[in-house]
Parts: sequence; C-alpha cells; structure tokens
Amino acid sequence: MKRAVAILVLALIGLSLAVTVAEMPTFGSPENPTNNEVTERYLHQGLEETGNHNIVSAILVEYRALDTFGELTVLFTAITAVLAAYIGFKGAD
Amino acid sequence: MELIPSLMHNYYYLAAVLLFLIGAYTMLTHPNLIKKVIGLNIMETSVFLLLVAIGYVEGGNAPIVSPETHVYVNPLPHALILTGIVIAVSITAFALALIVKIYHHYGTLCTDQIAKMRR
Amino acid sequence: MRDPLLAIIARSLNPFIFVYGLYIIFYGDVSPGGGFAGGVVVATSFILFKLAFVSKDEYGWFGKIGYYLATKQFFLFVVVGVVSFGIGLTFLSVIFPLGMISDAIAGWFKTGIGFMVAMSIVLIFYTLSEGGKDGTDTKSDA
Repeated sequence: MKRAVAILVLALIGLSLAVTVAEMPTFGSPENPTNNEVTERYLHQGLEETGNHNIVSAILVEYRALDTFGELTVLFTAITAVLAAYIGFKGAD
Repeated sequence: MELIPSLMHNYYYLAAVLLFLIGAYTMLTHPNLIKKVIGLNIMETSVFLLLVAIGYVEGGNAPIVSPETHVYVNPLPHALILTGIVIAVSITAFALALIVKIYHHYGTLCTDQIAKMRR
Repeated sequence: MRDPLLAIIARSLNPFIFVYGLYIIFYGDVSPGGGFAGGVVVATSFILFKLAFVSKDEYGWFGKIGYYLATKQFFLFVVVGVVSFGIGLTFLSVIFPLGMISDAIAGWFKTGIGFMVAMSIVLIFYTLSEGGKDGTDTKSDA
C-alpha cells in the first residue's frame, strides 16, 4: 500500500522532471547560456592575473574567496553541532 | 513528438533525474534509519551530477591551462559544487550523530517501532 | 586485542598516505587538487590508524598526535583565526586596490583550508566511534 502510493507520486514527479530536462539546451554545445563572458575572463586572464595553472583553484581561492570562507563557516558549525548533540549536558537522561 | 529525440541528446540530465528518483524511493520506503541517510546522499549526488554536466563543452579538456590545448570545459560549476559537497558531508555527519543518540535512547533503529513506542 | 597483520600494514603505509595528501594540497596550482581533496586524504591517514588499533595505549607517537589533535579542539579555533586574519587582510587590500591577493596570503589560505577539512573529518570520526553513553569504546575488550 505504501509502496504503491510512493511509486505513483514518484512517477508523476519524474515525468514532470523529464519533460523539463528535455527542453534544456543541448548537452555540450558551445553556445550554452552558461558560457558567457565571465567564464571567458576567468579562462583567458586567469594565468596572468593570479599565477595559478589550475583555474578551479584560482576561482576558489582568488576570485571568489568569500564563498570559500562561508563554506569553512559551515564546516565549523557542523563540527560544533555534532559535538553538542553528542556530549550534551552532563547528567541529562 | 519531438520530446523523445531531444531527451536522448541530454542523456546525462536524464541519468541525474533517474538517480534522484531512486534516492527518493529509498528514502520513502525503507524503515531503517541508516538507509534513509543513504537515500539522502544519493539524491545529493544526483544534483551534483546535473550541475556539473551543464558546464560541459564538446571536445574540451580539464580546465588546467597548458600550452597544447585550446578548448576548456567551463570551470565555474566545478567551483560551486565543491562547496555543495562539503555541505552534504556536514549534513550526513549531523544526521548520523543524531541516529546514534536515538539508538541509545530507544534501543531500535526501525521507525515503525519507534512510532509505536512514542504513542 | 590487535591483529598483528593489520598493525604492520597500517604502520608502514601511513607515512606515504600522509605525504601524498600534503603533496595534493601544496601542488594545487599546477595539477588538479587543491585544499579540499588534499585535506580528505590527510584525514584518511589518521582514520587508518584509528581503525587498526583498538585500545589507546597501543598507538605509536603518530597516533597519539592524531588523537590529541582530534580531541582537544582548540586547534580548530586557531586555524579559523588564522584564516580569518588572512581574509581580513585580503579584503582590506581589495577596498584600497593594490591588485590581486599577494602570494603569501593565498598560501596561508590554502593550507588553512586543507588543515580545517582534515581536522573536521578526523574529529567527526573520533567522536562518532566513541560510542556508549559513558564515553567508553564499544570494542575495548574482547
């Protein structure tokens, strides 16, 4: 009973997702809307501005360092949450 | 209709949607708590696959600047997905810590029995 | 109780895994890698030590270093402090523009990322494998 309802709901969701995915731009074409002038600037002038051969590392450390700092904050919060949920209050239950 | 041939061109996106459905089915039907966490991880992996496959360029190489290659893959989704992977690891760690505490309190890992105990 | 084969293999493979992780962190400019992947590989070397030896008094000096780094968590605060100092200097140099980040601060930033990721994963593993309500190891005897 539970499996039938789950399969029905997932089939509906999957059908709508598949129709959406079919309307997306073709996979791998160079005229994708995601390859705009931001990527051109990162690829062409990444080496001379930063000295990094690895463009992904240059983006993460030099161009968009604020995102990396936010993610380190997320890691720190996760560690605090794990320790707090585990050690907890001494003497409770 | 012309939906099926265009779906066959974007087969990477279709694989991501299938992985998402498999993860959701695992999370919905198994009563074990650890299997639900595994289903959550599969759903997160499918989202990463979709976002990285958007940035692919035909015949491109890895985005490491070297004198021989001319066409590079789009490096921007790679940098954004790294943050997402770290967030997925954090969610899994916290969920597992909570599961250990639940096991010590109730003595079982089956959600049906836990719901019966709480009534 | 410890398995002699597992102990020998873990103790002889660990330095190579650690140095490989450091190589991935520091060569993030030239070859694929960077701070995150290197941090995970460094954490793997500590986890291998924890998996092979069960009771605490059989760790070598390397395992004891890993144990203290993982359980006394003040190292994480030190690393966060250093990284935020680097970020603060970076943002000051962007507001008064003198060009991109200098190489020294970027180096501190990369090492800080790798260290923080490694310590996070090691700390999660050590905490979740303690087990028991009174903090004793679940496999401590027999």
